[in-house]
Amino acid sequence: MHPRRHISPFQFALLIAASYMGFGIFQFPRELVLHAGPDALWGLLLEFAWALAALSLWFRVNRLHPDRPLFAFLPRYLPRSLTDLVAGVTVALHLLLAVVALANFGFLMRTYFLPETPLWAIDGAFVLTAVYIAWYDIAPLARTLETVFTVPALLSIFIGLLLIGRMRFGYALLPTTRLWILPTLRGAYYDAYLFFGFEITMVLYPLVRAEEQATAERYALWAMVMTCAFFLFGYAMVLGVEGPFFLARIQWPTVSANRLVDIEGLFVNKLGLLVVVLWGLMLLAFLALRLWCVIHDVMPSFGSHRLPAYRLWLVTAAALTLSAALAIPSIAPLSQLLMTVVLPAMLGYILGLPLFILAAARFAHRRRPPPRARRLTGTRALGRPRSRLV
Amino acid sequence: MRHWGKVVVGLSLMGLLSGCWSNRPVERRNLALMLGVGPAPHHQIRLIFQIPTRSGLTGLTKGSGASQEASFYLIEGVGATMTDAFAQAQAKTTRDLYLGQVEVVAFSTRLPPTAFEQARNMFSRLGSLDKTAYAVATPSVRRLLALQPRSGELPGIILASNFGCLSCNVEHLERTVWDMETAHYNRGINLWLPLLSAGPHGFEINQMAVYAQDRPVLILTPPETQALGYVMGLTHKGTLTFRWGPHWVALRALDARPHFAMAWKDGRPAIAITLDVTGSLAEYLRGELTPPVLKAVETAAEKDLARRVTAVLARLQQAHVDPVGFGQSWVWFHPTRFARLGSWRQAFAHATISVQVHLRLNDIGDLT
Repeated sequence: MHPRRHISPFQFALLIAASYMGFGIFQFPRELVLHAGPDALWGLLLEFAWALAALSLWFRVNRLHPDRPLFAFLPRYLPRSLTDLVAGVTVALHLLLAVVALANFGFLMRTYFLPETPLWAIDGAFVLTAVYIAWYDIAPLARTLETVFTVPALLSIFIGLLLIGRMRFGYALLPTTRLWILPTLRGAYYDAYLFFGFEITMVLYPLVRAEEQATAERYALWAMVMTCAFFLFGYAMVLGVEGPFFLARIQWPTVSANRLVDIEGLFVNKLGLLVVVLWGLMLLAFLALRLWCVIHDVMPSFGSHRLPAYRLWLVTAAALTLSAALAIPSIAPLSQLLMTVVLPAMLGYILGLPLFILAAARFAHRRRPPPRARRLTGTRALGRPRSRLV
Repeated sequence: MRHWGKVVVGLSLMGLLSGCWSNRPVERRNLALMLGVGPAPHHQIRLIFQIPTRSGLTGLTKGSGASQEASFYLIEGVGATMTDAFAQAQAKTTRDLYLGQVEVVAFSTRLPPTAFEQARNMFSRLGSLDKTAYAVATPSVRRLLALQPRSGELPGIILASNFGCLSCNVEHLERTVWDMETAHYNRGINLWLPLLSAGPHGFEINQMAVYAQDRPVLILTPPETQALGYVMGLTHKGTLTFRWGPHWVALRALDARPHFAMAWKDGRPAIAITLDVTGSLAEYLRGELTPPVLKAVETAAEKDLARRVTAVLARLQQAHVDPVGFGQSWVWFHPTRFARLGSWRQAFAHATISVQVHLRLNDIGDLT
């Protein structure tokens, strides 16, 4: 395709964070409160736990062959047809996530900012910008994120602090002393979309230098911990401002809360809405990463590794995403699609696939012991950082 | 050349999201500053828009006072739904009726519950309506919106600055459209709105309308509003006048910090309210004010204030409404607790309420 460009551990962590933050930030934590009720806080903590555990699990898969993306080494453990099937599902899920995220943000923009602008113009502008971000492959994409990601994050925290004055429902923040298991699980399940996307580590991991991969893992996990803290802060602010019953009825709770921030005398007095627009940068990063991943999953199957081919696939994937997003008529069917199709499919994929691969790898290693050199280092196929092997 | 291509693409993308599709110059828009929702014959809804005139807007921008011309005019629409009423009002003007600048939304107290619900529902769905616009109840929407303040300023601007001024009022009765929505959907609390009347000298805002199921069931008097304001943390410049022997004693600048303790006793809620009040002595005619006498004045004031607060809470209980939201936490964490009594409203009506006041006069003026 083109000369490999390495990314730093920090960029890796940032890309992993960007791969999920732009997806659920707008509708969070509606489903959580709706299904978990007073146990929403426990549901959120459970969600953090599974996300961190799942990311660690994916890193274990990465460590099987740290210098190769998933679909380059998967045929070693699975039949070729099954590998192709998994690759196909992966591509479909990437596109599905991109479509849902794009359509959701398009509806949001139309509702609050651009009521008379056609959706194709809104969605088209975002897709084209995402294509441009991904046009020069991963290294410029990572550098773009480094530049634009921190501003919305810091401003969001600032807006959150300004919302404290509007908190009227602080009682709802108290944790329940009597934990109900089923509502907690339901809340964590229906809100799981918050972390969808970090499985792109399957393609990103090999781009980190071998000696830095352990550091990159650590950074990515810490970035996720910080993201969890960010979401916890957002949860407290939104719940305290909107109240639990009202929150469960709002389409985009975080946006509704941000709209209340009004600083008189400032040039942009509706600072909260500005932050929502800046969250569009997170969506752009999310879209760009999805498109980039789709291509990196597809291209090896076609044996093409050149930049023009990469760009051709990029434009094709973008056009597909845009067309599918525009085919969704309103937010109601989109929410239904998210809850009934995307949620179970992605959750099954994120949690099931790494377990399946690790099991297949263990089985394969038992049948065919790893090379002697690896045995000498004490590696037994699983769970050892690559840095020990190189 | 390649560089220019990027610039062109960038500008095109920005053009797509610039909002020019819906852009209308301000002179082609009717910027409503106040919006009134009232009843109309045959169970219809009347929607009244208060639109500033050019001289009204100019006077506003110059910051000048009186103007010879009216600073606003009204456009009305009537329909079975809010949307119909809006469409009819729009048909009466050649300019685009724009709600993005609405400062005050007034609801008639005579509005049928279904119409009130329709109005609230529409406002919730309108992305262009600023949810921080103030919401008020009024006996007559048309009379309120037709009132021209003597200063010549725009009524919407006067009201917005009045509600936004924390030191201008006895009670902070400002409520927003957002507050209406949260009070409606969240359980264990009843909606209340400030009652805004058109008086002979301008606007009067010292009463509270308490709603139950989208209908005002209780209009509190000004003293009741002030007393309830202590419990709700709204009264910050309260006054208290009571008899002390043959004379009157008057206190001013009363500010309260409320504390609640909730318990469940004998199958019903027990609410203990403690008010820590500070204030100033304004009028006292009976001899020298020694420390024991001052203490006696404080004790008498505590009793009087506790009586007033208890009375207004009893009225709320009789009407089965809880605008304070005592039961919110219970409804959220223990929703089955009220099964025997029905809803929280029923439970609140049967609650035992005790009020304790601790009053300190920290300013008696330059006179002993």
